[in-house]
Amino acid sequence: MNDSQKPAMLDLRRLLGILFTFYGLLLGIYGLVTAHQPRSISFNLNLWWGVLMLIVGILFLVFSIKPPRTWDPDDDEHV
Amino acid sequence: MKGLFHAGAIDYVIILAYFVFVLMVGWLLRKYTRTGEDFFLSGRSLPAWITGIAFMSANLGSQEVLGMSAGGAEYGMIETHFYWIGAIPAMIFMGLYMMPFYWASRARSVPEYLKLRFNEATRGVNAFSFAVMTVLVSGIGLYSMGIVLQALLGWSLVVSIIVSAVVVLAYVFLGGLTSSIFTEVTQFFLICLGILPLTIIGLVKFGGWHGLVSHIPHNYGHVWADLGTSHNALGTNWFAVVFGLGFVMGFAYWTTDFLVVQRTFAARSMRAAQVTPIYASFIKVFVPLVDIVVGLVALAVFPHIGHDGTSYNMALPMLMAKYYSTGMIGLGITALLASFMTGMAGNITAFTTVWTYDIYQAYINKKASDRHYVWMGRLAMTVGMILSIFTAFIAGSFPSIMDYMQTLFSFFSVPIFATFLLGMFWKRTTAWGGFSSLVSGIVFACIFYWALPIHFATPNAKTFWQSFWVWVVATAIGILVSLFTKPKTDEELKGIVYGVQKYPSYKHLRWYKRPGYLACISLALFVALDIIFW
Repeated sequence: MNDSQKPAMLDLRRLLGILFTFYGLLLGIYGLVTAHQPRSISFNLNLWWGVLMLIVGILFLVFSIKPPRTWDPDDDEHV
Repeated sequence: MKGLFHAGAIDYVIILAYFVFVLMVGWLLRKYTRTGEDFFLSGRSLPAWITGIAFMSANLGSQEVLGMSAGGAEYGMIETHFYWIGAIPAMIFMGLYMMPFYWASRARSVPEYLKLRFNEATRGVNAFSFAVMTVLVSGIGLYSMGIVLQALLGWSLVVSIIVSAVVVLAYVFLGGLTSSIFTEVTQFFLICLGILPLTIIGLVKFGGWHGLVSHIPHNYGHVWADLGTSHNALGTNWFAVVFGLGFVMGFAYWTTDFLVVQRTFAARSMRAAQVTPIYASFIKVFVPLVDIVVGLVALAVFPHIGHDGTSYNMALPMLMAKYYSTGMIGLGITALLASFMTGMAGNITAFTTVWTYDIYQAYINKKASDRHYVWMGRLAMTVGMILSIFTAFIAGSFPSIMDYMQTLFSFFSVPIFATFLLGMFWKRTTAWGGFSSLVSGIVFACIFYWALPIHFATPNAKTFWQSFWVWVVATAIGILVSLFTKPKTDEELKGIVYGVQKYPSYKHLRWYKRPGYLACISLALFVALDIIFW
């Protein structure tokens, strides 16, 4: 196969961004709506951890705006 | 049957979303997976951050997380040796000194490098032993996943084994090595997100590290303090830990086990391949936070764990059941499930590559088309998965899965490391010198394990000493045979051996791109942590 026809590699950052944004929203909203937690801790873990996952997910999505390079220019000058 | 957790609908949605995600990844990757190089080597195109996380994460299975949190609760911080001295120096050595030869040889697998450096026979022994071992390990993983899901959720053993095997097969079948690597990276983040809350809750609850340590036996907070003698949880002294575990076992695993080495081959350049294990070492030093420290928290929360009818192996699940409610439970289960599944995927893809290139292409069908080998790879995956399922049901008869795996590993992996070290760094090593060191090492491992009447305090102590002596014997035999046989010419060894090939220079790059600088930082971090938690 000709190299120029080859699509750039699938961007893992975007995939991770989608997964963790989804998990963050799901868990956060669930925590907000139900607000039930085990007696052993005094805060709403679902809500706060959901928010944190949402932030992780969004960060991955932001990083994936720039398309991935298929090679590193620094690596070509020597071998 | 009832399990430890009471999973709600939301938990099942989270678990299901992961299944959908991995199948989607496989489906999207199928159009990037056309040639043999795509399927078996990810087209040698991945950036170092991906291969680096995968390099570390391929080994971070659920057995590891559950087993090491059990170890933390039972023995304390001394277990950290498996992550620090047992991995970091090896990863740094791999990146700086071995990767250039692996990469320059353009070998597609570890056995293929052995073929280039030594001869067909050496490759054959390694390829067959690796293929058998990988299928066994994969089956053991499947079985322990079934057991864990049964205990935690009350799921049927047979159903969870078959369903997860089919899902894993589906995504690696479509995307090959890339599927495997992508899900390993995903798994790493899931493990962190699913387990870190327990570490944080524990540290906050007991008032930081010193507070935590004051709630558990005094010496459980130390890594090196008890290693002056053999009276400690490992049952051996610092010499066996540094040389048996650190030098021989750690180096053998992280530099020659194809499951992890395959990740470096997927990197897009020599520099990316070199920094892959070094990036991995930066993550590896912190892995104890999600297992060993969790074990310490479990011991502080349940002081009678292991003595009141509970098992140390339940350290992590018991904490989850105590602190997680519906929702977080789903995330925790998904993290464990994901790491079981990626462990399987990694083994199956490594098995497939070795089968296709080093057994099928080498002995059965030498001159087929690239398309045919990809087809054969997919067939091998399917057969390998079926074999794993059978192994899963056989594995049930062994009492301690971790010990069994370690035993297996030390029989095959240590001799290969002796062979590699001779072959890569002493160009006088001959083809038959390499072969004899490999075979004599495997034979001596069997003799040591079954026939020598030496008593060891713990299975760990035995494994450490056995690894060390197997390395000594395999190296000695390799040197001896090399001195009496004909060496290869420099022309034949071009690019694959130290002394014939020069190391690449990265002087023109900025410090954070240079493998040497990154290795120094990693080493400093490793030394600092060992001193802080001595």
